[in-house]
Amino acid sequence: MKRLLLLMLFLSWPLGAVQAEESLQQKIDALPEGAVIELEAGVYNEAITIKKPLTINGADGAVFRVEGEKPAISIENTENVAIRNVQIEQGDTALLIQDSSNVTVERLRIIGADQAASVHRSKKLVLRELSIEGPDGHYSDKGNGIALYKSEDIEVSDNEIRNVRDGIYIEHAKGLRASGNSIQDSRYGVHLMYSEQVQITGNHFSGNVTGVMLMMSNDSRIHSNIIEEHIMPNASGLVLYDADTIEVTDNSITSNALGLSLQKTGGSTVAGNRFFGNQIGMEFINSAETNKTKGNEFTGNIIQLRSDARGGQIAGNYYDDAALLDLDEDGYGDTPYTAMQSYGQWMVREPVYQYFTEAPAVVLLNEMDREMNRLTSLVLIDNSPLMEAPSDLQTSASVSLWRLVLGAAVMAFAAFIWRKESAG
Amino acid sequence: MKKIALIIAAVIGLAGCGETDLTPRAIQAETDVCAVCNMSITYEEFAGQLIEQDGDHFVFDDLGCLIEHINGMDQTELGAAFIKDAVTDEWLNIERAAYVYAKDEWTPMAYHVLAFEDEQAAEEWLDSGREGELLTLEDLYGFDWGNHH
Repeated sequence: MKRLLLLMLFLSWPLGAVQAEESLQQKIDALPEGAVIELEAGVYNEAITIKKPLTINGADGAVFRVEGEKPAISIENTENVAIRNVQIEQGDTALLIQDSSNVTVERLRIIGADQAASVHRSKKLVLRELSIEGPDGHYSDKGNGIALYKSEDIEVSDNEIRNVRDGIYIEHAKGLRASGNSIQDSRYGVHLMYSEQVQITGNHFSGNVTGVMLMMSNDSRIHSNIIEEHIMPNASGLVLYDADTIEVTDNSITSNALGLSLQKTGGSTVAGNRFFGNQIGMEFINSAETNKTKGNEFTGNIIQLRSDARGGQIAGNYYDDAALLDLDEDGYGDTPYTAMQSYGQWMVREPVYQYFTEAPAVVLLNEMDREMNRLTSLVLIDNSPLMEAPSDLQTSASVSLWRLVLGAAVMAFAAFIWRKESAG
Repeated sequence: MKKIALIIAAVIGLAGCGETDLTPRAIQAETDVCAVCNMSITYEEFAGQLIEQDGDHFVFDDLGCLIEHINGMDQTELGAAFIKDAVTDEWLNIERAAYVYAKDEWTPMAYHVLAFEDEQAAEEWLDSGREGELLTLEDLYGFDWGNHH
């Protein structure tokens, strides 16, 4: 009996060790190029490296839980890789892509990673529908959400990022399209450095130190974004620093400490934006002369515009504090709007002056400015201020159409009743 | 007695008007922004700092920004300037530090210049397998920062 038991023990115990389950990395290494892995639900406690064309489709509940500094998923020196629908729990770098092309990463959930996704020297990438939640703590103690270095032709879309240093950090990149992303509670929503041909469209930035920080970059467009509630110390909705040929168009810039700051920026256009309820709508620092500011709406800002310089091209904007007449009914005020006041200028140099914005002496100074500036052409003046806000015009047009349809319907109904009654 | 008290108070008051404290202060990540590029200073290991003769402090996120500021200011107002040591993370007076331009080393504004306690420390860092060019402070004042991105 004892011999039988010993025999059974001998057969069963070592068998498990000999036939130990193959690791995921071993499976990947054994697969041919272009293979598809359907990853089952479960927790994978190993980091993997992909160096050949491959697709990984995770089932709901597929989780990489990896300790140590090695990235949970690395994609290196390869092409045609796709990873979909996995969750990564990693304290260091969750996803690393290096020297690769044609890589698609979709529906990843990354929790608590110091650096969620880091991309180096790669091209033709899609990073879509990622959900990134950074670790607890101050933003200076953690890494970025999606960081792109020396890469090109990249789509970053429909991602939810919060609680990181910079939501999307871009350095020396070209041909980036960032759209439909929501980035909150971080240092910068998008941080661009030395990049070109970047499109930032239809994103939502809120509660960061700065929504979009664009530095030393050119030939790019920031269009139709919602940039709101950036009210921390030194906060801004949008900052362009040392930038050239940037289009800032049709954005909603609302409830920020400073809506838009142009610093050492030239050849750029700011058009069709709505500045609403900011402490300061827009400022120019070493930037006033070569940029065009037109068709914007400044409503409910404590200071509409300010500048550290004289001159500049502002024309055809709407200002809710403008006292204007339009006798020729061309839609533009007959008198210029003084968009910059001495006090606004001083505030650029000494931000603490903002605490005295509505002091009686400052109000008096602003009024004197308004009167004096009518006599000079040297200050930042809009010679053709709009009488109505562009958004009001759109709204009134749609309301009128609605009323027209309703009125026509009522008229038709009344005519029908009248004819019916007449016939009777 | 009143006179003595007044004299003591005056002496204490005048003592407070003595030499400006030219020692660096700690970086406040929550509120400090670079005086040149306005970026918040979240990578303290690359931070710079300048104290004017009147005691005003200015902080910078990258050595390149610090040098740009010095180049553009009235030199008679410069009290002292400091930069973080790339090895020890301690403040170094820029006049006593040595520098290395290393294009593969990341810095917040991509100026790629690191500071070391002295030339020997810089050479030791280079000997550890890094590539770079040894620079002096005078080199930095004339450095073409814009072309080293």
